[in-house]
Amino acid sequence: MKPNASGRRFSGVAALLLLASLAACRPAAAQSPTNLVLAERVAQVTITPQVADVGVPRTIQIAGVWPGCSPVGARVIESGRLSPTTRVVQMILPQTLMPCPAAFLPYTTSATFTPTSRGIDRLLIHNVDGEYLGESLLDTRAPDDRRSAYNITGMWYDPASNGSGLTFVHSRNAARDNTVFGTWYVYDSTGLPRWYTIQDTEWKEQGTVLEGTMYETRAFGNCPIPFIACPTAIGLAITAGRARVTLTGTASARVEALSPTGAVVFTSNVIRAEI
Amino acid sequence: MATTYFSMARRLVLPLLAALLSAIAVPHAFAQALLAPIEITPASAGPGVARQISVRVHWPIGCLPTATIVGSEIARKRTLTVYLDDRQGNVFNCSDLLIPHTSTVTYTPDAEGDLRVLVLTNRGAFVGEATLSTRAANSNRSQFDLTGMWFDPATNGSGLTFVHGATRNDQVFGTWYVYDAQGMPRWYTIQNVVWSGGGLQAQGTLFETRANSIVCVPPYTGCPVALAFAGSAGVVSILMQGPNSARITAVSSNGGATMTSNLIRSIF
Repeated sequence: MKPNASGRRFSGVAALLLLASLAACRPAAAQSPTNLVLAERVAQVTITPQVADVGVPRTIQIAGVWPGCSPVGARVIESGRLSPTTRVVQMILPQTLMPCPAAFLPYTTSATFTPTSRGIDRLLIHNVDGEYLGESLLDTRAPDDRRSAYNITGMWYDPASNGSGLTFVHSRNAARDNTVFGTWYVYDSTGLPRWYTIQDTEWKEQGTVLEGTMYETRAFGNCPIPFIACPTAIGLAITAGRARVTLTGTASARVEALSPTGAVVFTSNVIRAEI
Repeated sequence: MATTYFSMARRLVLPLLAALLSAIAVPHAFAQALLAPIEITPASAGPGVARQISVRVHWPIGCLPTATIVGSEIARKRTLTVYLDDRQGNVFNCSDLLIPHTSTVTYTPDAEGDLRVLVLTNRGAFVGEATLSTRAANSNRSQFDLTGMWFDPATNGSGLTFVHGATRNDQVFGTWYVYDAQGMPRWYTIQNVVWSGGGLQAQGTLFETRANSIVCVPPYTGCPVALAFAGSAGVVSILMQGPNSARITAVSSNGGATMTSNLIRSIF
């Protein structure tokens, strides 16, 4: 399900659920044109291919909005770093005597990097003047390595069906085999909330695909009026089908509900909801 | 004449200075293997208290860096970037000899929470990172991170998941999985959470949501659809009894009904 509000990168679920509280949580400046502040220039980072072995060139694409002359490139800083697992990707700004437009403009730029060792590198995206813009993980591994690519703990939702969503709790401890427990919050044909759990999960495709069993449960709640539902011990668990989660980035995924025959019944293109 | 003195300094004084410092200097290879230690003084304090961020590095003699905070004000709300800038080092040329050096910069946070501190060189090399924790002495910020799955062993099969911005804005989003009288799995959300009691108590709103009727494809009886209605079903209180146990109580909007779960964190 979606997160409540606060912050800029805010999931719309809270906007739908709690307009009043949303207004309270937003910066006061956002409510007053005379006290307007600019949003943080957060960059979206996409790495292609997402997971690969050593020697495979990786394209690090950075997108966002920029005031004035937009970045014309990016470079991975290799020299002088003290951490073997953290690299800075520095945006390159155009060197021009021409005046830059005052408006915020969308930009997309990229850098190429070819890992020479396996592991997960953190990429910090910074402006040339040092401002932090975002980060991502560069996962380099053997083709048969099925450890999860990312920790997927958190809330995820599809903006197209805002009000439904998923929560994952992910034990990314190698000794515990990357266990994931998922809950998918949806609605039934009458519009009432309904949930499934996703269990018995298994990672595939170099840790970028998770598959598990979708369970539907039943219990008869003797709930105090006016509560329509209440905590009750489980009475029955039914296998509804399978769920497949295909990670497309650290904060984006495609989640599919599969029938027992493996056909895709419905799909959500989810993004991670940040609090 | 000035050029002559400068040349003498470079040829005589600098090597002598380098020799004297060699005992405490370290070779490049050793320095490269370590992240720079970052010390924040005072380690914890409330908003409005100036904090000193000290970065201990080994740096080439002759161009010791100055620490400065860079980036826009809005970016500093989440991540504070400290630059070690050695471009002022123009008296002596940089030497290959590294000496210990501590660069310090002051920053005064204006709000509670954890702020990540990243230290980079002016050439963009990553040097290290730390967390600047700001918490007032009488703070009501949460003492524990609720993120995860929770359940009451007495009603195993129901439960809650929480996502908690414990180190940031302290907001909580909870989902409570329960069952109705017809046996169907239903859920509530918990939002608008406010902490009190020294960070051990929280109170929020219990929301019940609805969607417009939709045809879900069998075998599934539920499917993702956009929200159509959200209404308050009551008030939720959470009393933390430790990092892995809590008591949650929901009181209906009319105050006439209560439901309670004694929760433990599900650890797997």
